[in-house]
Parts: sequence; C-alpha cells; structure tokens
Amino acid sequence: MKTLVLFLSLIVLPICHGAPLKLITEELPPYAYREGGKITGASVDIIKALFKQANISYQIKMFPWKRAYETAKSESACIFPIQRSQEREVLFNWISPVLITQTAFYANDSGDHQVRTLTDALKLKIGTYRGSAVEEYLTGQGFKVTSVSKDSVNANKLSFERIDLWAADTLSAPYFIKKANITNIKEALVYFTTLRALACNPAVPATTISKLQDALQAIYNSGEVDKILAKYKQ
Amino acid sequence: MPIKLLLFTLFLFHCLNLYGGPAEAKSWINKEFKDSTLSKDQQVKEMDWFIKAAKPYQDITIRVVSERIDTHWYEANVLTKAFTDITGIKVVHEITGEDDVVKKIKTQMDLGYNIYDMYINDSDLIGTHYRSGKVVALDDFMKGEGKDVTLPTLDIKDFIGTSFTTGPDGKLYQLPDQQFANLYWYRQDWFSRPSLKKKFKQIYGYQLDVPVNWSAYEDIAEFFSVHVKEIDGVKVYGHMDYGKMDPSLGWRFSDAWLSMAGAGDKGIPNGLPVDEWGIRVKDCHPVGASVSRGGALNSPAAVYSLRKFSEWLDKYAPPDARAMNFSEAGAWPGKGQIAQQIFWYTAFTAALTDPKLAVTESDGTPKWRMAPSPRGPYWQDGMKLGYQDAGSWTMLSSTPLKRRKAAWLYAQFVVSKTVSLKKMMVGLTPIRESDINSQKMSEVAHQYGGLIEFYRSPARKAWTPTGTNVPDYPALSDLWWKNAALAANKKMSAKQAMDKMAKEMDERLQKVADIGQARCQPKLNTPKAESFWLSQPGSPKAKLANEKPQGKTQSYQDSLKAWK
Repeated sequence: MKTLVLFLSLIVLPICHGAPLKLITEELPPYAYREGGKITGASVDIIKALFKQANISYQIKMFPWKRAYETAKSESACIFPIQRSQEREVLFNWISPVLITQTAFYANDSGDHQVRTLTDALKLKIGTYRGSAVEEYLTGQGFKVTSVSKDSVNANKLSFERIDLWAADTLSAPYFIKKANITNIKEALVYFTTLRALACNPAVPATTISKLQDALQAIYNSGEVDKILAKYKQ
Repeated sequence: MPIKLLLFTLFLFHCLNLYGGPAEAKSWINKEFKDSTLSKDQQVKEMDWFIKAAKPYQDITIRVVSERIDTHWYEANVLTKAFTDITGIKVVHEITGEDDVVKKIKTQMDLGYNIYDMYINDSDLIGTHYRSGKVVALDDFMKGEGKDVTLPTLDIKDFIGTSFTTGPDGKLYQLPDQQFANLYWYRQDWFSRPSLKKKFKQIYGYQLDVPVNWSAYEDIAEFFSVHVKEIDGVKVYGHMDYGKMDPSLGWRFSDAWLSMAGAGDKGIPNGLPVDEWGIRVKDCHPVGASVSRGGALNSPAAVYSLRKFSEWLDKYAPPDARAMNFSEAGAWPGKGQIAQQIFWYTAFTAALTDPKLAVTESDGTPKWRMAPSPRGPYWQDGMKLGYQDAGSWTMLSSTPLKRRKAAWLYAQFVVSKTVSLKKMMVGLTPIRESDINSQKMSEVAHQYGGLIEFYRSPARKAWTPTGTNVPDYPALSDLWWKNAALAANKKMSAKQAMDKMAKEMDERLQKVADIGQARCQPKLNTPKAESFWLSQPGSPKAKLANEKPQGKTQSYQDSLKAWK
C-alpha cells in the first residue's frame, strides 16, 4: 500500500501542482547532511527559505558529488551549494550566492609552520577532500595536495601530524573537529572566499530562475540568511 | 637587572614584530625595494608616514581580492608581508579569476554585505561604479573622511591610467594598481628571413613587415598558414585565436575587437557618443546599442569584425583553436609555431622571455616583438586602437569606515614610489610615469620586446579599457561570449549573431533602467529606420564598398616612430 501511495504521489503531484523542481545536494556537513532520515543543514535551510519566498515547489535529493553534478548537467534539475566558476559558467543558469563561505589552512598545535600567505604553504603536505573546490583551487595554483574521499579523515590525519596542513571550509572543519573530539588543531590562515550558488540546468525555465534570484535578494535583505547561518556558527 | 633587560628586549621584540616599525621598514627597503625612483632617505620617510598612519588600525586583519596575474601574486605573497611587518596591519590578499572578482564585487554591491575591504577591479567597470552610487569616489575620500590615511607622497598625477578610472563627473573612482595592453605580436626572426621576405613580396606585391591594417594581417596569416606551412621542419600558422563557448571568449570582443575594426566613434579614452561596445550615450544616459536606436553593435563594422574573427579562426589558426579558451590558447605563441597574433596581452611578457622557450634566445632575449595592433577598414585617426587593462583599487561604501581606512593604507603601499618600480620589474604592468621613464627601465628595456618603448610613447593613450558608456558591466558582459560563440561555432552568421546581441543588449539596458541606478541610467531611444542613423556622421557607419583595401606594412622601427 505504501508503495502504491508513493507511486501515485509521484504521478499525481506534477499534474495537480506542477512538477516540483528537483534539487540535488551532496553530503557536506554542516551545509547539507542527513539527520534522523531528513536532509538538513545550513544550505538546505537557506534553500527552503528561498523556495518558500519564491513560492515554487521542490524536492531535495542527496547524492554523492559526482552523481549529483552529472545529474544536474543532464536533467531539468538544480544543484547546490556549488561553487560558481568560469569553467562551469556555461553549463548552468545561476542563482547566486546561496552562501558565502571561506576556506582556511588548519594546523596542528605543535607544528611550527609559519603560514602567513598562500605560498608559505607551497612546500608543506596539505590534506584536502577529493573532488572539492578546495582541491581544485589549490591544484590550480600549482600546489600538490593529498586528497581523501571523506574530509573528516583529514581532521584525524592532522591531529596525528600525518599532514602539515588541512585545507578546509571554515564551518565544516570545526564541525568535524568537534565531532571527533579533537583538541590539538588550530586555524592558521583563512585564505579564500567562495560564492556558492544554486545552479540550474538550462532546461529549467528562465522565469523560474528570475523568480528565484529575486527571492534570494529578498531573503538576504530581510536578514533571514544571517539568522540561518548564525544558528550553525554557534 | 638582567631580568629587566630581558623584559625590555622582549618588549622591544614584541613591539617590532607585532606593531611594525622603522627597523622593519629599513630591512624591507634594503632587501626588497632597492630599485625605486626615490632615494633611500625618501623611502624611509615614506615608510615612516605609513607606520604612524597605521597605528589606529593594528588590530584589524583586512581582506582584499584581485585577479590571477604575476603582479598580484607578488602583492599577495610578498608585499602583504612587507606591509604587515612595517605597519602591523595584517592583510589577506586573495587571488582568483577576474570573472570571480566581478561576481564578488557585484554581490557586495547588490547585497550590501562586506565581503572584502577593497577590490582590485578592472577599470572596465567605471561606468557601473559611477552610476551605482555604491562606490566611494576616491577624490571625496582623500579630501574627507580618509584624509588622515592618504599618503602625502601618493602623487596621483604620476599615475598613467587615471583617465580610465575617472567618472563623467570628473572624480577619481578607482586607483590603478597594474596595467597591461593588448598589442600585435609577431616573430621578428621569421619576418626578417630574406627567403620569406622575397616569397611574400612575390605573392602579395609588398614587404613582409609589421601590418598597419587588417588587410595586411590577413595576407600575412594566409602567407604563413597556406604558403609557408613549415619552418625548420615545424608546422607553422599565420594566426592564433580561440573560439570555445566560455566567458573568456567575451573578453576578446568587449575588450577591443570592435574598436580595432573601427566600429565606434572618435574619442580617447573611448568613442563618444558611440563607444567600442556599440553603446550610444546622450548626456551620460545610454540610449541604445542597436543601429535602430543609434548604437553600433549590429552595424556593418561590427558584423565585419565578427565575420573576420570567425573566418581567420577557420582558415589560418591551428585546427583545435576553435575548441580552446583563453588559457588554452595562451600557451601557443611560446611553442614556436605561431607567426603573428593580432591580439596579445602584454601581461604575458615575462612568461614569454623564459630562455627554455622556442621563441627566445638562450639568454632570454625575445625572437618576437610587440607592435601597435593593425586597424580595420572602419578605423579613423582619433579613435582608440586597442585595449588596456587597468586593475584598480575600488572601495565600496558598504565596507565599514575603519576597515576602508586600513585597506586604503595597504592599497597605497603597493602603489607607493617606494614599492612600485620593484613591482613593475616583477610583473611588467606599469602604473607610474616616473617608473616607466626611470634609468632602471632604460637598462632592461631590450629584454622586453618593445613593452617599455610602448609605455614611453604617447600611443599608449590609444589603448584603453571599457569606458563610461557601459552602465552595468556585470549585467551586460555575458552577452558577448554567448553571442560571439554562435558565429565562431557556425550556428549563426555574423550578421544574425550581432543582430541578436544588439536586441538583447537593448533589452538588458532597459532592465538596468527598470531596476534603477543612482545617476545617468539608460533611457532608450525610440527605434528608427537604420538608414537614418547610418546616414548621420560618425558611428554607426554605413557599409564600406571595399572592406579589404590594399595591405600595408611598415618596418618595426617605423612602427616605433609612429608611437612618438
């Protein structure tokens, strides 16, 4: 019976209410993660507020990064929170910024590496998250990095000094550090700021894009985005 | 006593390291800023001013952003350290793509969020900044709330690019940090070979030399790609460009392509009333881009320029060029297979003097030269001839005053006379007349293939950035690459692509007007028959009966004289 209801709802929803826009995200705590079977997180909360403001129906799916990215490129769907870059510009229509995030180098308390600028880190062993914008940025600048498939692993690697620095998002890193009860890691240098967006396949109607962009401006102006982010910075 | 002495030493050490000071200033002057147009005493005095002015801001870490070129890399990784050591103010200077810089400044302008304390933003946005009401006019700031943090020896008149960063109201909105031009680039060694000279003369009836017009450029492109084909066993091409649908394709067009063809009006730094974007203004209000509204974006000259771009890419460039973007195509001149390039950014000068490259002698002396760009058949004396990038310090009113003041100190430090000559030697992106004319530059000029000669000549004034006719650069600029790519990839003819683009540009101008700007917002003309505008003097210009006049070349020496 449950299957039948689900089957019916999938068919009926588009007819009765207009097809909800498919939104795809990846596991990226604290921006997007599963908790008690629900998809939640800072960027998920902003997206919910955005679609409520625009009065557009939607459904959120969580896939691994590669599948998420490929799906958004090939279907009438949107992906978030994705870094807007020159290479990606042509592939999507953009509602930006959903988030303004920062990336930092984290160091072990006992390390004596002086990192005042980006090039100070050039010769050090840097851990990053495979396929991430952090990895893309550093390799693009000529850095050699050691990447892993789960960013949380880097917290432990740094704690045990198996890497000199960990390049990570300034909200994600403290989240992982706290979760793993690690106490010997410090922030060394916040070196980059990123605009993260909701990127929609060109098949998503232009009117929807325009409505969402206006709604984004509205939730920034009303202070709603600040309120959501404050919750996750605590 | 020894404890007191130790404490005192520690105190001194603490002060020197945390709060900067004269000892650090002297140390940096002696090790890094030896080359300066100032005497050492003058440098010390200039740095003393920074030390004192910075005192109220030592608790701040400022954050600025710029695009990714050698000059900014040097600032971000060396000059930030010097500034912190000397003044005690910490700086994070982020490096990213220019496209990202534009999106970030637009975001801060739209949302009023303080993302950065200052931006090094191309002066192409001057029309946007002037109209937005969200950018602090530096003239006002220096006289008013920023007076106490404005360097007495800044010497604004010494900057060569301030005409690019001044609004229609005569106020300075941005301060140039680095400049580079796009010039004609060619293999002087190949152009000097008697056998090739003889063969060219036989086919085309005139000398193989620096092309003065597009006809000669086209002939030379054909000569190397079709007739010469191979030099010293290596396949060669008479032209290089790129055509991939990518934001970087737009820079080619919005920067200079139409101005080189001669689509706009006369006027320096930009054509008036019609500029090289084909946008007409009336009393500072943009009134349209399409010919029917008095603009020139789909005028015969604009269509001609796009047609030639696509044709040359097809016939004379390497086969993969159509699928390349700016970065991918940028590496090609260094490979030793390209004979000439109509559009080459001088920011790559240092990269192309690497002795390991096929285009340099073993001592790094270039086998190539840069010269003035050839002009298209619609070009006339008094018009701009090419593009100059002027990455310039830009301050937004949404940044808190204390942070603005601290960032302004850093901005002035990296363009100060103590620092600027060394910075020019690292990045080859000059901003000061005094540096360009310095003895040091005379000593090294021969290493840079004509760069210093160009900047010493008045001709540099004909190479200019996008001007004040463009009311909202971030809102309009994507139209260039989205539409040029249609012609470059043969999805439309050049005429169809420019007609489409002109229509969309007018629609966007109307949208900018609907959203509203603080001043001089667009007020579109009512469309009229194109024949009305084409019969008026100036731009938009009627189609020429002959778009390929006789090819004309001149010697490298004469091309230099033409700059004097």
